[in-house]
Amino acid sequence: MHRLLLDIGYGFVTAAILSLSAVAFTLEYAVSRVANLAHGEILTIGAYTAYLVQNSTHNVLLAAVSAAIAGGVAGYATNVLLIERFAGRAAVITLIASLGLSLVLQNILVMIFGAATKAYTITQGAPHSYGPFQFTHAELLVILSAVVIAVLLFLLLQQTKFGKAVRAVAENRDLARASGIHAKRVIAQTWLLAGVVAGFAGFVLAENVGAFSPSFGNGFLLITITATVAGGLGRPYGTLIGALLVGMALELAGAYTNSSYELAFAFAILVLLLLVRPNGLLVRGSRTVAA
Amino acid sequence: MSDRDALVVKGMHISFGGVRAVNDCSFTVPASSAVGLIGPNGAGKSTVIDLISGFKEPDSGSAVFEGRELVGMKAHAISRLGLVRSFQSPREWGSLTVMDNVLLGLKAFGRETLAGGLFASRRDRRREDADRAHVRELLESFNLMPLKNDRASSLSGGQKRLLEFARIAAATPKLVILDEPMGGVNPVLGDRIGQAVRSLVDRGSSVLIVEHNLKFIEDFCELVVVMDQGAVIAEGPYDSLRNNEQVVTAYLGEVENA
Amino acid sequence: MIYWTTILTEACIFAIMALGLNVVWGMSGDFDLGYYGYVALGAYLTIVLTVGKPLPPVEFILGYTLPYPLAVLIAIIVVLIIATLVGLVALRGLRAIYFALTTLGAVSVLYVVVQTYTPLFNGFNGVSGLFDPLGSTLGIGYDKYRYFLLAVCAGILLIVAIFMERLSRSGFGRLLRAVRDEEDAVAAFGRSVYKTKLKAYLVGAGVAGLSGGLFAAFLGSFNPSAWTPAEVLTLAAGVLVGGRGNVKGVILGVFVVYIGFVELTRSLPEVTGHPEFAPALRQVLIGLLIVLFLRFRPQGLIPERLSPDRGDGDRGPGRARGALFKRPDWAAPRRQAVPQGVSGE
Repeated sequence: MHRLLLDIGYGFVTAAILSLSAVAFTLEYAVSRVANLAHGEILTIGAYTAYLVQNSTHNVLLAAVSAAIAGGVAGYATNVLLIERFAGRAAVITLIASLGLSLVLQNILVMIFGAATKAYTITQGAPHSYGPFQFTHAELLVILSAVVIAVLLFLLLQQTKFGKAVRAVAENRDLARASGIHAKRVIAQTWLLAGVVAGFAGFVLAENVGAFSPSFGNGFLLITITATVAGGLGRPYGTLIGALLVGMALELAGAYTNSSYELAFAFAILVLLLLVRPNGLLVRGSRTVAA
Repeated sequence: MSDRDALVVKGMHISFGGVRAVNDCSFTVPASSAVGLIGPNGAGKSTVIDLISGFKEPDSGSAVFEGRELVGMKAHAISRLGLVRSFQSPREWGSLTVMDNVLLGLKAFGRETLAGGLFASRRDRRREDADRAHVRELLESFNLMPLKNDRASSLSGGQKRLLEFARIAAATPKLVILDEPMGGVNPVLGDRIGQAVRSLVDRGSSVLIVEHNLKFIEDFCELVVVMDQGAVIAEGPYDSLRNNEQVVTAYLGEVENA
Repeated sequence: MIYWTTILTEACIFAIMALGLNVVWGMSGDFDLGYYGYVALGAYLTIVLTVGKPLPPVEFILGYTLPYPLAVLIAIIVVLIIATLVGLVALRGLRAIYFALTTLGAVSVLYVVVQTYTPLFNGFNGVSGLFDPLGSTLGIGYDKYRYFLLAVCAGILLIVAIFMERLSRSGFGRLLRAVRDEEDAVAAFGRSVYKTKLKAYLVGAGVAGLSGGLFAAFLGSFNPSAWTPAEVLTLAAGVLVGGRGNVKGVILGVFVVYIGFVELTRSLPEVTGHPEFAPALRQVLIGLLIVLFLRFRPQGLIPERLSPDRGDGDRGPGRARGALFKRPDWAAPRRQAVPQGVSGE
């Protein structure tokens, strides 16, 4: 019983990190209708930035902030330099282009830093009991920061003019444009926002795992996608719940088998979702049937 | 239903996110006739077409075509029964030639198999030659012959409409559902489209036409079905509807006075 | 001489792989991110079916000593079975995004499982010991074997290319392209989009399995450092540069990209203490090549050809007969990329 509670506790940590990455992915999808396969690299860039900043300043907070900024720049640049140039092209084409970008970024990092895994440790602090669970200080901060970011995103999307514009663009870009919204700018800003969240997620993931390499973010991509599909592609709130479910499922499955198979579990969940609820667990959309 | 009815739609319902797009929609298309389906924007006409042709699944309701229930069937299976539809914008296969587009309209499923592609027999090739000859005649009748080897994507909007009709004619359907065939067509071509509809009926097809151009409906359709807010509000010959108050408020008045 | 024999052999094998990818991506329009998984499976299976029981600590499944051609055949069949399962799931949603995600997931999982679960294919160390298959049976000496293998690979490439060309020009090829252009219209005219795509997917996977079998003979061993899921991008670059949907273009594209990159990598100076630098640079260039071609020349160097109707009654301008029919394929490049005749409104 104790063991199970511990694993559920870890599940919350995994879910927290996953929710950050997945919300960013889903925001990108919502405004651009593109599954950005270079999404993992934004996390990786965040991790490298945090690592470099922390090594030179020994300040965790500064490292976290720089990771977020670097991620924001990466997200913004991805949109301007790649996604926007493929506007109006078939979804598959943009998807492959983003995969090409992923290859480019990963290998540029290899060229600069080498392919080897780098250790990244920050003081975790001793585990403390919180109710039935145990978390270290660092883990607690991870969970708290994810909750805070989720709340901020919610407020941003629901309460501000920007949020309304994002939702309008996600719903129907042409209609949004017709009603006077500067769609191009809103999309760019959304990518910036998603990048910030993803960059921060990269930092959190790296310090939580304790190591990272150029392919580190890419390894997290499939899990991110699974959480996103679970919540419904392009639906930020659903994605949060999807991340919670998938993160918990992975942590529990991983706890009782070899953790290398986490990816296999993620895939199994993904396949199941696509077969049973292709529109997400929470969505009751009408089925479109074509031959 | 009687044998004289090609299509009987009964009690179709579908909602999208709580909004009832089609609400208890029922109507009949008699055999060998042209029926117009009209109504204001958002009345649910295109959705009804999607429901009948299997591109969307209704929440409830039925559509019986020649004695077969269509609800629950896949779109391609419905088409094989002899019910062919068009789309609001012409959906030509852009990278194929005009000739190939019409060849794919033919019910020549047997020659599109994988094995047939790898090991085509002489008989297959003879049949394909015969098909090509037949398609050439069709292209001739739609004035598309000079364009037969052009990419379909390079055609003008009106030519694409004609290609759509040639493709449908090749499929020899029993029932054709046309979604705004006059959309984006200039008035000169309008007559040709009209003739094309006429020739489909002459070839023995029933036709259900969604169209905003009421003159076209009046000229070519014996019966008219009027939809508003997802439901059928009137049915009958065009002239009988002019005086129907409900129809006038919902639609006709608005258009004719405009 | 040995050098060029090796390069050409590998280029032939990659060209076969690319032709399989081209059926799915070039003709039917979906991009199979898991494609290289089938190549890898074909290679692994061919080896474990031919080299006999593993000696501890090496471990892998099967361990038969079947004749090489039979092993390749069985490998292809197994690949087809797995591809059917993946394809049934991936194509079910009929949305390009789900297809991409499912195939990406499938190949990622295969990669992890192959690496982690050692009883399957000996984990990270991989399987080895396929030494010059058919060489001793046919009495071909070590010195001549390289040429023999090149001849076999070139011959198979030719056969696959001829089959692909036939497929492409057949009714099935026409249907595939129609699916790529406009799915709904395909369904509206009585053809099942799902079945058509699944068939194309299986043709691709079968060719991948075959090329994997050849690759195994070429390398003699196979392990997770010999491939990654991202390898599919190298193939995609070849397909894209040559011309999606065009069989000759694809072959040309693979030769240009592959030989170009091999030569380029050779000419690069070694960065001391950084052995990953040159391969990484190669990957960067492949990524850039893909992005730039997708953006600026998606039809490739030799665009897909129209198959004109040759029948009589052609009252169109005389251009069609002379120009379209008699020009040799190799000389029929760019002009046809531009839509001819009446231009759009």
